[in-house]
Amino acid sequence: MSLSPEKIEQAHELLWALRSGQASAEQLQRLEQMVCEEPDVRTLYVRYMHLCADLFWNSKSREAVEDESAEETATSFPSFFCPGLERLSPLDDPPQTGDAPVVVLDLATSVAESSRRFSPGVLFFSYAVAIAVLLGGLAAGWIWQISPSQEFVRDLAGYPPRQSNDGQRAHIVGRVTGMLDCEWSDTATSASEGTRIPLGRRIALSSGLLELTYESGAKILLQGPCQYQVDASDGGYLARGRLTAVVETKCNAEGSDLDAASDVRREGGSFASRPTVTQAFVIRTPTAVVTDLGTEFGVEVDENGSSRAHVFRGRAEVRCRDDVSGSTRTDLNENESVRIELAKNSRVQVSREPLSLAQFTRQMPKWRPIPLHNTGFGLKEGNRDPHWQFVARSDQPRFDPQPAVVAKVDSRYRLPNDPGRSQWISFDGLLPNDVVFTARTTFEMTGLSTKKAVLWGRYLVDDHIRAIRLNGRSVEWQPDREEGVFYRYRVFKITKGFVDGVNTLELDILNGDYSAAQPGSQSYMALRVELDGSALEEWNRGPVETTP
Amino acid sequence: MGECDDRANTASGQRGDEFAALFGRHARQIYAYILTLVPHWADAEDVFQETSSILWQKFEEFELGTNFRAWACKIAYFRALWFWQRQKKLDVPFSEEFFQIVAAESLAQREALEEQHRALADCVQRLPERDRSLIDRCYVGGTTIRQAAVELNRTPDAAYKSLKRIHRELFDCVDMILRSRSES
Repeated sequence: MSLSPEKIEQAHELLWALRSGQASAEQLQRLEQMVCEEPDVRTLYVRYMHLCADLFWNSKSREAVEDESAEETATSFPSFFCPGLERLSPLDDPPQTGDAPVVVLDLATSVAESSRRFSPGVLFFSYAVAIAVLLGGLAAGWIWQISPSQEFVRDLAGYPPRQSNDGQRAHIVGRVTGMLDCEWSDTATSASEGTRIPLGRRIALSSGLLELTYESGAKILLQGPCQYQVDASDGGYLARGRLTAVVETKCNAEGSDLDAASDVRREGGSFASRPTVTQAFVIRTPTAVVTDLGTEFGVEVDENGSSRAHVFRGRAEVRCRDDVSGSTRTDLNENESVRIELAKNSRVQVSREPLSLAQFTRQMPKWRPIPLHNTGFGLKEGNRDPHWQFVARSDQPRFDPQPAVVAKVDSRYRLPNDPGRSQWISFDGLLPNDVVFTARTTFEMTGLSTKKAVLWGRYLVDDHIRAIRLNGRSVEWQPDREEGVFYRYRVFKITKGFVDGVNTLELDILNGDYSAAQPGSQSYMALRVELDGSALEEWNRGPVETTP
Repeated sequence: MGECDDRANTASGQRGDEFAALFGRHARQIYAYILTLVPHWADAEDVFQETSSILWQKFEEFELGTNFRAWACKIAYFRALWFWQRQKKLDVPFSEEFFQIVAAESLAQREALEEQHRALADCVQRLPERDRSLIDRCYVGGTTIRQAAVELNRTPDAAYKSLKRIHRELFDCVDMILRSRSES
């Protein structure tokens, strides 16, 4: 290998970062570059990855030989992988409650385990034997008109599934399908979009929104601050905070099925241990159990554990947490709410009460256009522009704001006015040179995020823009250096400085040609601006208020 | 059940035996090949699952006596590419060119990689017991580094650093063995 020691070190650093799941985008880019450009790094990459894969097989062989105490009939296969290598967080903690573990009788493993007392190499042979045995079974299955499913073939292939830490298979129940501004109150529970969520996974947000989509198709939207645990394949435990759930299943239209599901749950059995009843979705809280009987509902839990539930669409059933008899069952229809709280005598109290729906975010916020106004849009020359005005000029400290008027195009401007897009505006004819005029427009941001917003602008000006401000704060942009060019648009972009409610955008226009302006001379001053922008819908970022 | 059915079942049973033998012999190599294309364990797991399934489904198309590993790796390659195509663009760590280069390199290095595999077993045996325990906990026990660290009375950070060092030592050890073999 002709690589320098430094290059080898660098390559190993990058490879470890990749293997441990800690590689940054820059590191990945660097690694790709090195692999593509340097044959020796390419070889190193392939050898390193094969080494990691081989480590498993070697370790597995040793385990098979050494672990004499293991039961002969294995019900799970030891991990194929090293989940810890790429997941330093306890996000992959084993399930603590909820669904019964998925137990798959893995005959391939049985054979492998029973062969452990021979030699490590026997393990691989044992896979082949196991596969052969199972293929024999498969052939028998055909005799009995059983078609081989992919699942069966997978097990047959001796494929060792990932497992959780208690020796059971990790049961993936969903994925993170959306995130927005997530901050974690417990960083050990952090996740990224696309993260697969195993049973038992906790999510602790201090702020932000996280959308989790269950394998069943149910979606929940967690609103930080909140603490949630996926303790079942068809629901979860909300310890604190707020969520909305949308349960779209094929049985939604079949009320009887859902009622039946609900009845099964009320029998007191484990929710998750009834895998055949997966249509109803259940959110548990410290005080309540909310069972979906329809399509969309919201639940919130305050610091005392008091819970509130609201049905947006469809129906839901709400019970007190420890109510086996079902005496506290409350059926909620569309737009109905209920509150379940611990009273002073430690008894649970149920009351119907209206809920402030604005508290719930029902879907991941979408980008919405900001209502902005181009100069002279839809107007005729000479018309006043209701959305723009001139509010200041440097030579008159007590200047009274003047409405902007659509100006006639000067021949020097070249580009004609376009009422369907934008037009030149001014407020008078000839104006003194070397004076700065301030044009202003306002726009409304209510209901839109001020942190996730972007505004693009482009302008033509006679003569120069000296400053652009949003809500009094200067915006960085590339000022024009050319003189007498009135047909080339200049652009600016604003991503910060937005405020809730009314926002003010101002442009300072210097009238006069720098080089030619004479003291006391006059010339035309005009401005033409086109704006476009969008912002995310705002959502409620506040915590659940504690019940007094 | 007729004679024809018997013959058919016998034939399918034989085919199954053949698949079992070939897959058992090459499963490790196929998995390692996939890991070079899909570096994350969980993703590689998915691709390996899918590939195993497809190999069996398509086994009728495989001509006995030809190179099973090459055939399987070809299917694994396309399965890996398909996996990346399903991902959001931002989630794909490398370009398609990268995958092509790496796939070709894996196949070109297959004999050296087999030697590496054999040497690795020796190198793991040479590790101090403490390091071997950590590797075993992580690769076999299915625990996270954090948990492995607790069980071994070490801090997660120390365990993480140790794993990094162990991987490097193993790589160097394998390198040394292969060099000495080629020189002798």
